[in-house]
Amino acid sequence: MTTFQDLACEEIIKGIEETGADYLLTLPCSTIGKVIEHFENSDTITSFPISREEDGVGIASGISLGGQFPIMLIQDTGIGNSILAITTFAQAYHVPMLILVTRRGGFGEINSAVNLFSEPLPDILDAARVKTFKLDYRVPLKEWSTAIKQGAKYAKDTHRPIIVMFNIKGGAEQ
Amino acid sequence: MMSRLDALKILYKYTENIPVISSCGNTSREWASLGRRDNHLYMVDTMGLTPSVAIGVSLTLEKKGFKKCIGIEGDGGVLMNPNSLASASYLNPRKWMLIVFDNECFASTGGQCSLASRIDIAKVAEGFNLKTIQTDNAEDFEKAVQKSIEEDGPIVLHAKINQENQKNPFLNDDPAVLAYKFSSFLN
Repeated sequence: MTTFQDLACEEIIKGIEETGADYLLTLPCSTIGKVIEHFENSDTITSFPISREEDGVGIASGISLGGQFPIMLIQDTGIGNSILAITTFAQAYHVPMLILVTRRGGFGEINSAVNLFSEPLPDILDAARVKTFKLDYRVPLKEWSTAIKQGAKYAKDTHRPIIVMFNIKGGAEQ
Repeated sequence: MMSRLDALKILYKYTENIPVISSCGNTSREWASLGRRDNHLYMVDTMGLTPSVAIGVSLTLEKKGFKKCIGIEGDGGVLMNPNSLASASYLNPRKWMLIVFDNECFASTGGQCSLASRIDIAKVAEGFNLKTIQTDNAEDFEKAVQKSIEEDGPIVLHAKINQENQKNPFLNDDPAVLAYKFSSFLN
């Protein structure tokens, strides 16, 4: 049976392809494994793994300064070890990039610690003035690819990193 | 042993048309004091990120005429972000060059001892399968700069320097302007 997660992954793949991005930098999440596998075999977007999100923000920034467009795909926990690079480099230096973030914590989360960062994360991003758009069950799945495409364009048009965060597990807002 | 400024003066001679990204603190201030150029990106914060940014830039240089993108980082910065060495090893960006100025201390904050006093950063880089050259004097450093720029492949130049700092004004530019000049130079 096709699940919400399967359909969401298809929309995320479609959205990333429609951005026309040159590079996709990834750190895995079990929920979007299909997305990473898809782009490992892509002819149009160069995809590679990163070892830590802060390093990824630096590499993505260099790609962007070099005139190409990068997307990072990470878990929301990764914002914790990259927010300094996002704010004092990518944002301060007006470097556009799209950061796609999968949500941890909330209903369906079995990890007994991650909620302590994931739940307050939207407030942390708001306080740091990192513009974030949120997708969850209330946004029709067919709109997700459009949001990703628009997120990339908005990053370029406003010269800064933009985050599009999605809750792929379903469940209520956290 | 040479000072950082001695080394930067040598580097300056060979990098008129090579993108160079310098780390925050005294390194960027001393680098800027030699004469500003649009091929320079001066980092004003985010200690340790310079090698990562240089990796990203070097990936975009494949079809451009620049021989290298050089990142300058200190020993403290490299040990703050050794992930960049892993990425450089994995991605193998042939135009990536990292210069590590190793004075075994955090010179910009007053010379506090860094972990590098007990760690050989060249061996760390070699452990990541990166080609590495190690120097501890100006003459060897100059030769290594010339050689590394011509190298077809990622390379780390580990340069031991003394703990001398030059007094220079803070870089208080709008970072957006710094990035715009650098990006315009690249593109």
